[in-house]
Amino acid sequence: MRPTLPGSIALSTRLGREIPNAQILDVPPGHAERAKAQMRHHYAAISFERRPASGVYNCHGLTFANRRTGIHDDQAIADILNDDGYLEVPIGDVMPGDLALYCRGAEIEHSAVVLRVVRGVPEGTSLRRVDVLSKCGSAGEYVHVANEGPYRDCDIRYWSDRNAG
Amino acid sequence: MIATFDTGAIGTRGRTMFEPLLSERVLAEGMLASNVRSLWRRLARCADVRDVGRQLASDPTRIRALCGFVRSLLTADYDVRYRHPHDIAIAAALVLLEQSPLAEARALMHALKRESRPSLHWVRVMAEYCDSRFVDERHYGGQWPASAEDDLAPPTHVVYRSSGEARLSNGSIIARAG
Repeated sequence: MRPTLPGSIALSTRLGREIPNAQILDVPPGHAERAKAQMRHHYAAISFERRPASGVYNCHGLTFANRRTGIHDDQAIADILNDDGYLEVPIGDVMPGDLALYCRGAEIEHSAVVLRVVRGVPEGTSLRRVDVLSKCGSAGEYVHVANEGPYRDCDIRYWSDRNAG
Repeated sequence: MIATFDTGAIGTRGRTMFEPLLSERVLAEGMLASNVRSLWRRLARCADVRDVGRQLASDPTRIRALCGFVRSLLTADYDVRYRHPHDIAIAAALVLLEQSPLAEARALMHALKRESRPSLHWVRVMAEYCDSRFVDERHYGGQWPASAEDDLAPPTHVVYRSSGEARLSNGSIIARAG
């Protein structure tokens, strides 16, 4: 049984700017399985589940808060990217550990961590596939191809903190 | 377990009409959302929600019945250690009720904005979001404010005019006064 959570935690950017966050309750037992079956039916990419459903954190909570809480505010994501030294990188320069941001206009609908970049052999130049680790809302964590799955209609932009120092 | 509810003039058809909101598809789309805007968008696009919206049209009797359906879901027993078992269905209903000027719909929206139970987090934030999107013609003189999400207007996105005429946001007239 999970201990009672505080509902939100102290969280800030590298520069000390406060990040609003919320730990939301889990869905009732059985609901997650119902949702998972439906998701797998509609999104073939959602197949490898690393971790089951949790309301405690969302995609941004996985990407920016190490699963401790959920971040539900776009401005907070913009603050983190700015304060933590993230820069957008072209798809050809993406490396494992970088972030995939799924955007709809100026809005960031989803985020994920790049796990693997598959390039052509032997020269290793042409990008073939990017695999990401995604926490899908209040559902589970899944490993999937970046441009497949429930957020495939978004514009994917890659960001990296490799030059943040 | 869904409690019984007063469907008023539309009778027991109301339950059947609104049951798609409890579907696996609605639940799954709701669970994929990362924030209230993506929750709204996913639910507004969901086929089951749109089907209910089409049947709802702008019929005041059906809209009142949907308010009753939501109240019945809210009164069902559940384990408060978890999210309300129908929070996504209620959020979907709020998407459909968003632009209704009916007093029952506005009262429900305002009541849910004040909801403090952690198990109803998504219901509260959806009520806040939908109410912020509600456009009262009395304030805007019938001019619909431009919005980045106009292409995703919910099925009941209706502009009611003081003449008694009701139009969908695309300009189609769907009802005229007597």
